[in-house]
Amino acid sequence: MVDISEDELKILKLQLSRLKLETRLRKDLGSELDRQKTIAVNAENLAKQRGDEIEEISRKLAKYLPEQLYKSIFSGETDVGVKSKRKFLTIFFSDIVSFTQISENMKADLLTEMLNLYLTEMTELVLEHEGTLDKYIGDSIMVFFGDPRTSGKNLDALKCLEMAISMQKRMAVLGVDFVKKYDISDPLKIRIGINSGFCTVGNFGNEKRLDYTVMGRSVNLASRLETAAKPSSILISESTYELVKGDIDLDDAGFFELKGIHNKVKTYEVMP
Amino acid sequence: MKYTGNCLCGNVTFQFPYDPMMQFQCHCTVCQKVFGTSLNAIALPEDELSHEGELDVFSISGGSGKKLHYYFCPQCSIIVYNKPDVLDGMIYLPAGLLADQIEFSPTVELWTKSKAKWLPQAGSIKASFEDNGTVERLVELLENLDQRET
Repeated sequence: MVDISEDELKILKLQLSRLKLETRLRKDLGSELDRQKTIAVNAENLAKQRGDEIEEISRKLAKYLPEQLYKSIFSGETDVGVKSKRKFLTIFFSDIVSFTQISENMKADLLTEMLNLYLTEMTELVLEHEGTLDKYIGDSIMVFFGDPRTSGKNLDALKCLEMAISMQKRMAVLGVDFVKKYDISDPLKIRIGINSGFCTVGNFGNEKRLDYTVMGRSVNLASRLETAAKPSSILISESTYELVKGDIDLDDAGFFELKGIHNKVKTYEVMP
Repeated sequence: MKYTGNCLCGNVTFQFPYDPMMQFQCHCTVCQKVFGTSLNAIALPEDELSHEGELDVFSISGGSGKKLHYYFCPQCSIIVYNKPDVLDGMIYLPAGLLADQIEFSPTVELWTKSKAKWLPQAGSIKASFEDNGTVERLVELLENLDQRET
């Protein structure tokens, strides 16, 4: 047996108690770090969950905004404030011929179903041709090309014409389908008007409720051309004609006197 | 014994042989309720404290989510020390219970985000934590272990 003095024994006991304490403190440190790690992981998960929720809300919101504009805002390219700018655009209007009469003879739920089906089909073509869907006004659709992104005046106008042609082709089939499906007397037909020119584009309204849209004489002219267009045709202005004439077959449609426009307007027509 | 002290009625007396491992202030809302203001306390290893006289205990959940146990004299209800599970192995002893062998000079303060506005900053403070600063305190305690007076 080893001889050990009382002092030595005291020191050994002290060392032992220090070691025990150190062990406990290291264990405390470990468990505190674990706890903080758990908090960090939970915070990260929560942040991700919130991010997903925002994305989900944004996706819902996207249905009410022009898709190009939505992408532009959420990627930070376009500011959300009451601002506007002048831009050269090609503007498109369409509506269903005799829609008021048709709607009067249809049940509300069937009318809603038909209109939604029609707007869905047309909107797909808008997106396919990279147009900015401005708004639906009842059965009327307003689209523009050249903002927020532009492929250049000519290509913007060409894309718009190609979209219009594909819409008329689609309607040739859809219009007949609707006769059977919704029991209407004549095939559904649409009229289209297109014009190109400088417009004021931006957010109109106030800070609480903004509408991203285009305004100006060029917009009014597009709308008037649509009203003047024959069923199943596309009526375009001379300024649009100048931008697409080499690429698309167009017929001279003569001069039109249009409401609210001073001079007679030279027009061209596409009958797909 | 180097340090001694007692509760208000004297029913509980205590002693410990070595210098405290930390002198600190806790400004958390629980301490403000329990002690009337911030806690001014010393931290020492649980094993180093010996006491005479019966102690009672009540426990609460601390800010860390772990328990905090208050040991108090059942006669005068004075808290003699508290023991946080988050710092297992350590106890906190209110500085005011000590006899005059020590001039309290806190170097660490905790939960400054709930510190009373009227309370001036002690000149001896070297580290302030908005929260309980547990990790930093544990690291310091572990470093202090090697330099403990024997």
